[in-house]
Amino acid sequence: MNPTIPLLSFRNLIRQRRKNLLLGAAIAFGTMTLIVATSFVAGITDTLFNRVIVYMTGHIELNMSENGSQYYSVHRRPELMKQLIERHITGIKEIREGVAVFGRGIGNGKSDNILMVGVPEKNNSLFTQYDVVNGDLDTFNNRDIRNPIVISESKARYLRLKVGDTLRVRLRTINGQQQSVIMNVVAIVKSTNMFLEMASYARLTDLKTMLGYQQSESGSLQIILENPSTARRQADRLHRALTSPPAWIQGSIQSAPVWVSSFKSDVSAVASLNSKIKVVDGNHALTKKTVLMGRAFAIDHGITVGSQVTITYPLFRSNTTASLDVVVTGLFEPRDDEIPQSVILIHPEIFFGAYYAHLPRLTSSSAPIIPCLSGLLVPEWILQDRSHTSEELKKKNQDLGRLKLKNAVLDVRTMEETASNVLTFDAALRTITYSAVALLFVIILIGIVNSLRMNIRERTREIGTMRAIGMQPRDIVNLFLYESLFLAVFSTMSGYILAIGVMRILSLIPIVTTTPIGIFLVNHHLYFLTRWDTVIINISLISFIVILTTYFPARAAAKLECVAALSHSEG
Amino acid sequence: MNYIRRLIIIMCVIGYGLPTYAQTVTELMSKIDSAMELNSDITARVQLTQQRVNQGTRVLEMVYRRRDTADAFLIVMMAPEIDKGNGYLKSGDNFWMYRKNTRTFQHINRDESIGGTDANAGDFEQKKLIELYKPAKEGLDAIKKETLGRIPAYKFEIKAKSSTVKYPKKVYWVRQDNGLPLKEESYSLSGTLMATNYYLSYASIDNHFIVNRALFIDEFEKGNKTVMSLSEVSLKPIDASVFSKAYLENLSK
Repeated sequence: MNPTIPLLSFRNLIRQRRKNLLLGAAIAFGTMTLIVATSFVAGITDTLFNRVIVYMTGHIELNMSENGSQYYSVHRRPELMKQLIERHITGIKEIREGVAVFGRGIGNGKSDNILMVGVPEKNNSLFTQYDVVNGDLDTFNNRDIRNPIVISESKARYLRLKVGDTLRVRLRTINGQQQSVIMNVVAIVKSTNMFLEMASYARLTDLKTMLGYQQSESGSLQIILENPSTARRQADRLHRALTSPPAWIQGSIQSAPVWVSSFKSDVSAVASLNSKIKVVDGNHALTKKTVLMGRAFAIDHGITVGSQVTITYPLFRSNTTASLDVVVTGLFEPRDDEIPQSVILIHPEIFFGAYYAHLPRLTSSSAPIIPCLSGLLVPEWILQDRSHTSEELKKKNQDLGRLKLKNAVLDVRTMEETASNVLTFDAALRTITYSAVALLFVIILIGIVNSLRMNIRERTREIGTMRAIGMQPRDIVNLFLYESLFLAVFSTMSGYILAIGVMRILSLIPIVTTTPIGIFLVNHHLYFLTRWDTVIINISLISFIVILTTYFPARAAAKLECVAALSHSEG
Repeated sequence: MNYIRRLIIIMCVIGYGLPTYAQTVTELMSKIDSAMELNSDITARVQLTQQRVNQGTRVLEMVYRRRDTADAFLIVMMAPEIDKGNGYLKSGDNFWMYRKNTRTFQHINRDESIGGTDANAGDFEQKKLIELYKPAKEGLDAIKKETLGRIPAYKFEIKAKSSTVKYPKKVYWVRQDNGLPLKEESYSLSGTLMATNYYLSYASIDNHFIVNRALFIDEFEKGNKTVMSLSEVSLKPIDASVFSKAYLENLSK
């Protein structure tokens, strides 16, 4: 390529200063509009993902429910689950414990439903989302204050509460028991985010005690990711890797070791179990009261059908033991030599009642290897299928209630299912914003394209002159392409600088509102999130369109004969 | 919908008119359990007058049918007009809510709140007092003699056997002459009195004592109370088809 072409192009650009300035201003304005709009939408998405959903459900949530409950999640061995999460999920920012409860609050002469959310002490970054109207958030961490609560301004007003007042709350524990607690109002806060405005906050440790959790147990496990867009893919991967440990209690009867487990109660599993063992004494039918024991073991220990026996077993995370009293309903003879006489099989209703209430210790050999019973005995928890829409999740939960499973049930969810209403809102807003911007951008682009085409047509005689002095058609095309490239680069860069300025000015304007628009604000200001990759794509897109628009008329003009080009006249 | 739970509780308190000389808490509990076991079917028209703080008074009327042998009951709303035809059906482990306007049944899960109240489907599971509770004290101090109004009563305290029982502690006052409950207090896990039930009067029908007037007081949210009264009580057998979805649907045709 002729090295003088870029210089000539630049000189031409300077020569036609006024025209190119106007054209460049239009391109810069289009660029600025695009960058501001994409940054605004990215800001909204970031707000929803990292300031709303993150506090509602996390990006991925592991929900463990017992007894078909849809209200509480109880992870009895959360540390083991966290190990699995850390092994299979990448880019974890944080794993949070989700503990929340709906209760009935009684204020000063007024009552209302109240949502209490557990917040970890010393790490309550959540409160940065609020303005303190009254009180002191530091007292939330003061252990001298019993059951502190931070409530929203609207709730405080309705319940006629002030800082220092007490709020009585009725709630239901994870086991379904009625609980009443007295909370001390330590701060009244206000948030522009309507989702956050709904909740009141108690210390996580306090709330767990109120709800009947042990401190070592956990509510749902909420995973916060560096990149929330990978949530679904990562959740699928984690789901594939999860397998439940078998539910065995390694205990003793009269100091003799026994292995206690429970059988699956579906028809095919019961039929298979009956092919492995033969009930030789007592009740042959498997009922809710079934407790089966090996006959030889029973004879050795003087146990008969109808005897009440106490199974003692060591507890998980404790040096103490628990005991399970059962009445033997039948004695069995193994049909398979693999099944030891010291195995006791109990109906899930009795078994899991004890198992979850007093979790047995896991040992390195926590279950006897009995291959012939695999698939017939119950696991510690059942893994639910992944659901990919909120409708699927809702139906799955309804079905779960009907099944009345006694096992705990683990569900791996992402924000796509649990916070689909928020995401739908986000998607709708994106569509509206992008549509409006696209319309504006197309109008601007048509003007730019038309100006570029007119510019080349006006310069057809100049092209003829250049052709007459020996310039090749390819050089003429390159000349115009360079002109467009320089114009595009200078204009889009100017547009970017302009966009930064506009965003900075807009984000300085305080917006005080109680309307739903408040959800898009951060500390009462508009929030823009400018991503480099998006900016580069936007600038490249505009530059490409400008160059493409120039290419075709430049090529057509360059192909003209010198005489035809020189005799070209406008109008 | 709290009234549904209260209705079940009250309808469970059906005493046999046998004199009791029980002197232990366990025996008194067994007496209440045997009173709750109804070998025959029961049909009654129930009126509930609910008074709630800042919400005024609301009167509900319904027809209640129950068959313990099949662990089934059916409630059909008669008043107010807006609820007429709606119903609740329990059959074994399944519990449905029927809405006349949409002609749909909604399955209610065990821990699902009914009508946004603190009552849930699990409250309607038939369990004996003796299975859920045990005496809080043993020995001579366990039962106190008191006079409730002018009626001599035994007072005793029971505590839940497991952590899954709704109220961890209850206190009963039962008549000394026949063991019928007169008053019941229910306490939360933290020991706060949550509810007090007064069984105000019983009617004698076919050698059964059936409570026909009761008062339920919400002790947590002061001012909330419900008065229940029964009429048109019958212990005649009910057709099995009554405890079905089809029956409820046909009622609203």
